Amino acid sequence: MTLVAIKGLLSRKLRALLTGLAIVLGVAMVSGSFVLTDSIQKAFHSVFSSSYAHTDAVVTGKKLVDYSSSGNAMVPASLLAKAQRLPDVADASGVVSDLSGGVLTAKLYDKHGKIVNGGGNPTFGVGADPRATRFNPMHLTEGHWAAAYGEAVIDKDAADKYGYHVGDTTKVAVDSGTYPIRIVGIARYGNVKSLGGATFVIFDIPTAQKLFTLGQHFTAISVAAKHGVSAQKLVSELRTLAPANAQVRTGAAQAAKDEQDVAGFVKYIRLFLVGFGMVALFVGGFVIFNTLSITVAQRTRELATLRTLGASRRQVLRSVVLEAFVTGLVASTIRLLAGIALAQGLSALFSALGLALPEAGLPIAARTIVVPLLAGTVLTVIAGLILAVRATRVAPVAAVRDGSAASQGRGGKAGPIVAAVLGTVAAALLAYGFLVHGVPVGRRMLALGVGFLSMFVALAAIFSRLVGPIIQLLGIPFRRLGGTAGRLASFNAARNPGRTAPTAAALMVGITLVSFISLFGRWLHDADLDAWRSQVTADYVVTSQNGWDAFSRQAGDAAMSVPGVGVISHVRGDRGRVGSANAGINGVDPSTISKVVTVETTGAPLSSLHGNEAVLKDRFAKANGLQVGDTFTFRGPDGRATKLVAVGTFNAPKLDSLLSAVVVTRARFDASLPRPRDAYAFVNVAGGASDRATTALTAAYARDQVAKVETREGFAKSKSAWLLQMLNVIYVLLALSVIVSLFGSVNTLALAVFERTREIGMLRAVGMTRRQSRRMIRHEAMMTSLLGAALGLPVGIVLAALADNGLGSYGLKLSVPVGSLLVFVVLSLVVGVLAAVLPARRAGKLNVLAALQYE
Amino acid sequence: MSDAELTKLRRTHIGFVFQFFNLLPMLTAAENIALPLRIAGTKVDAAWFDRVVGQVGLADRLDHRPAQLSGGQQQRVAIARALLAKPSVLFADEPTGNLDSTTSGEILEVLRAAVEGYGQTTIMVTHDAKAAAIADRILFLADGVVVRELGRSTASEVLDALRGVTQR
Repeated sequence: MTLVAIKGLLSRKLRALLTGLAIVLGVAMVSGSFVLTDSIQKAFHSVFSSSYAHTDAVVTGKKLVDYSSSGNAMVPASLLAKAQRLPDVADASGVVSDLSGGVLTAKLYDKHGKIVNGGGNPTFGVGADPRATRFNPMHLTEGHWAAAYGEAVIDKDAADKYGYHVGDTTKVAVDSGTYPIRIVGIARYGNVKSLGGATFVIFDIPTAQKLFTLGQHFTAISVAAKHGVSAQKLVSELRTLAPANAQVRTGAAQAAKDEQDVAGFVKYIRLFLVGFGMVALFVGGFVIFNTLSITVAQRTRELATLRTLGASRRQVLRSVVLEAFVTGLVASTIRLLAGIALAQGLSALFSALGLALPEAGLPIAARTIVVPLLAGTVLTVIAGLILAVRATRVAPVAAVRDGSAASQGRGGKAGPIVAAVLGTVAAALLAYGFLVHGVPVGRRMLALGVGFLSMFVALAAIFSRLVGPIIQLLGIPFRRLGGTAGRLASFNAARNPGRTAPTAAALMVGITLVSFISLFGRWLHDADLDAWRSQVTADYVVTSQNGWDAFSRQAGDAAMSVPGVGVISHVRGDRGRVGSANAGINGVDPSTISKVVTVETTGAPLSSLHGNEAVLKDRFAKANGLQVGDTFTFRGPDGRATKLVAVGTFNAPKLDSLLSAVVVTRARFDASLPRPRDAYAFVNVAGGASDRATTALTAAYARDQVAKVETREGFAKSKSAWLLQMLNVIYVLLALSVIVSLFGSVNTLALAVFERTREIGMLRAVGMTRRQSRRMIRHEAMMTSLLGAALGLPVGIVLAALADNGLGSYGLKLSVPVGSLLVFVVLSLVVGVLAAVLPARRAGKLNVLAALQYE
Repeated sequence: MSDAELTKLRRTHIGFVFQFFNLLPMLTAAENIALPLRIAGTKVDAAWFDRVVGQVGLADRLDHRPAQLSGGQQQRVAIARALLAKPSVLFADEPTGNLDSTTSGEILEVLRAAVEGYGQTTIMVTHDAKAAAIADRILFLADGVVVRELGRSTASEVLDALRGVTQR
C-alpha cells in the first residue's frame, strides 16, 4: 500500500507540486521572518558584545526615564580619577556614547554640503579616549584616533558611501551647532556586516563633552580589572564609589542590558511578521485541504478498486495520509531556500520603506527549521486525515460506476454543526477582544487571533451552502455578457459547492483582512489627521528633519531673518517622571502659545502660566489622581526634581496629542531639564501662509538643515503619514496570503478541467470555439474569486466597525471608501483571471477526439 | 484548416451523437438541446425546436435534468441536440452501445425517422447488426480498411456478412 501511495504521488507530480507551492509560500513566510529577525538580533548582539569586549565593569548613569530626548543621567568626570586609584583597576576611561538613539547625535555633511541621513537612520556622535583604545569597540582601518578639537574619525561605511578619505575636511551638525572637522581616521564597528545605514562620528573626549554640552561628565566609565581580579569583585568595589544616580555592571551584563534596550523591538517585528506568515499558512490550509479532497474524489475509482482487490479501510486510510505526509514534508523542506530568499525580500521591503536595520549574515537557528517544518507537515497531515476518513467510506461498488463525474457531497452533515459551534466560539472571542475594556493587550490579541481563525473556519464550513444562491446573483453579469460560455461558467461554479467554497474561502480570508485593515487604518489616519489639524493654528510648523526627534533650540530661530515673520513660538519637549509614571513635558512660551496652538483648558489657560505652574493633560491628571491646586514632583531624565503646581488641565484629543502630559513655561523647562531641546517651533507670518512665505522659510531652514518647515496642513499630513506607511507594509504582507489563495484557485481549476475533459471535448465537438472554452474557465474563476470578495468585504467592514467600537470611540468617522472597496473587487477579479490562465489554456488546447475518448 | 475554421465547420455542418450521451448534468433537457445554437450565438427557431423535440418524443421531459432521465431519454436529448442545427451530416458513434435492446430499437427508429422525415444524412458506427440494418448503405471495416459493402439489408444479412468478414 505504501508503494501505491508513493507511485500515485509520483504519477501526479504537477498536482503535488501545486499543493506543495501553497504550503511553501505560507511556510516560507514564517521561516523568512525568523531568518530576518535572527539576523537583525545577531547584528545587535555583536554590536553590543563588542562594545564591552575588553571591559570588565561599566559605570553608567541610571536610565530614569524611557525615551527621553536628553538621555540618561551622566557620570561625573571626577569619578574617573577615583576609579583609577582603586588597587584592582588596571585601566579606566571615560566614554561619551549613547547607542540607544537620538541624544548624542552628530550628523555628517556630504561633499555637496548636504546633511546625510537627515531622516530615519541613527547618526551617532561618540567620544573616545585615544589613549584607551582597549575600551573602544571600533578599530581603525586607516589613520589615527581623534586627539584634538577639530579632529574626527568616521565609520568605514560612511567613508565609502560619501567618498571621504583621511585628511578630508567637512562639517558636522550637533545640537549646539555646526562645526568644521578634519577626518583623521576611518574605523569599523566590531565585526558587523552592516549597521543598517547608521553612521558614527568619533571625537576625543573633551571635544565630545563640548559639542554635546556635557560639562565635566561622561555617559559611562569603562573599567578593566587587573589580572586575576574577577569582574564581580571589581563591580562591588566600584559600587562604593558611584553616586546614587549611577549604576555599576559587569561588561557582559551591560552589553545584555544595552541590547535589550535597543533590540527589544526586534521581538515585535518577529511577532508581526510571523503573524502574517501564519495567516498565509492558514490560507494555505484551505488550499491544501481542497486540493487533497479533489484528489481523493477523483481517485474514488482507484481507491474502490483497491478495496475490491482486498485492501482494508485501514490500508486505504494509511495510503492517503502517507501521501499527505510526503507532500507536506517535501514542500515544507523546499521552504528553507524559499524562506531565506524571502528574508532578503523582507529586508529589502523594510529598507524600501526607510526602516533599514542592521544585519549580520543569515543565521539559521534550529527553530527556523523546526517550527515551519512541523507547522507545514502537521497541517497537511490533518487535512489528509480528514479526507482519508472520507475516502474510506467509499463503497467498493463505486469502482463499477462510471467514475469520471464522481460528485462530492455538499460538505457533509457535520458542516452546520461545526459552523454553529465555531461561530459561537468566534463571536464570543471577538466580542471579548473588541468590546471588553480593561483587558491586557496580549490576551486581547490572542482572543482576536483565535476568534478570527474560528470565524473563518466557521464561515468556510457553511460556505458551501451559500455558494449556490450567491453564484446565482454574482453570475448575472457573466450570464448577460459572457454568452453561453458565461452561462456555463456560472453553472460550473455552482456545480460543486464543496469545492468552490474552500477555494473562495481561501481568498475570502485575504480579502477580509485587507478590507479590515484598509478601512480601520483609513479611519484611524483620517481621525489622526483631523486631530493634528485641529490642534495647530500657526501658519507654519518647524520640526526636526524626521518630524519626531527633538532638535536644537537655536534652529527654530532661522526664520527671524525672513521678512514678515511675526511670531516664532518654541515648544520644548522631553520626558520625565511624575511619581512612578512616565510623563512627557513641554515648555511653552505663554505670551505666544495661544496664537499658534489651540487647546481647550479647564482652570488656568496656557497663556497665564508662570513660575512653577503646570497645566496637565486631562487623562494624565485623572490617571494619576492629580487635581488643580495639587503640588507634585517632576523628575527629569537626569534625576533632578522640580516641584510643580497644577493650575489647570487641557482636553487632549484621543489620538495624537500635540502637547504632552505636563506643560510648563519655557523658562521653567530650561531650568529643570538637562540639554533642553525643541519638539516644535511655530511660525506665524503677516498675512498668513503663502507660497512666497513658504519658499522664503524653506530656504531659511535649509541653511543649517537641522530642522524643516511645513505649512499647518503639510505638518498634519506628515504627522499622520506613518499610519499610511504602516498600511502599505501590511498590504504587502497580506498580498502573500492572496497569492497563496491564487495558487489554490489555479489548483482547483486545473483539477476541474482535468475532470471535465470529456465534457469540454463534447462542447468543442458541438461547436464551442477555443476562445469560448477559455472564457468559460476564466469566468468560472472570476466568479469564484468574486464569491470570496462578496463574503470577505462585508465581514471586513463589520470587523473594522467592531474594532473602532473596541478602541473606545477615538472619534473615528466611519465611512466606507467605495473607491478602495472597488479596488479590492477588481483585485479579486484579477486573481481570478490570473488563476485561470493556465487551466484555460489547457482547456483550449484539448484535442477534441482525444478528449471525447477520455475516461 | 485552423481551429477556428474547424469549429465553424462543426457548428454548421456536423452533428454528433455519442455512446455515453455527453449531456451537461447541470442543464435541463431543453437547455442541452439548444446548447450548440447558444454557443454559436444563433437564434433558436421555436417551430423547428418543437418539431425536433416532438420527433424524438421528449415533449414532456424538457424540464428534467440528465440525472432524472433514463438512458434512452438521454440519448433522445443528444439526438435532438444534434438535429437542431440542421447539420449536413450527423455522426453517431455507437449510439446504442450503452442501452438495452428495447431502448436501442426506439433510438434507431428515431434516427431512421430523421432520415425519412427531412433527409438527414447520418453516418453511424456500430457493432450491432440490428443497428446496421437501418442503414441504406453498410460498409464493413476490418482494421481500418473497408472490406465489404452492402445496400439495405436485414439484420441477419448483416450478421452473415459480418461472419464472412471475420472469418477471412
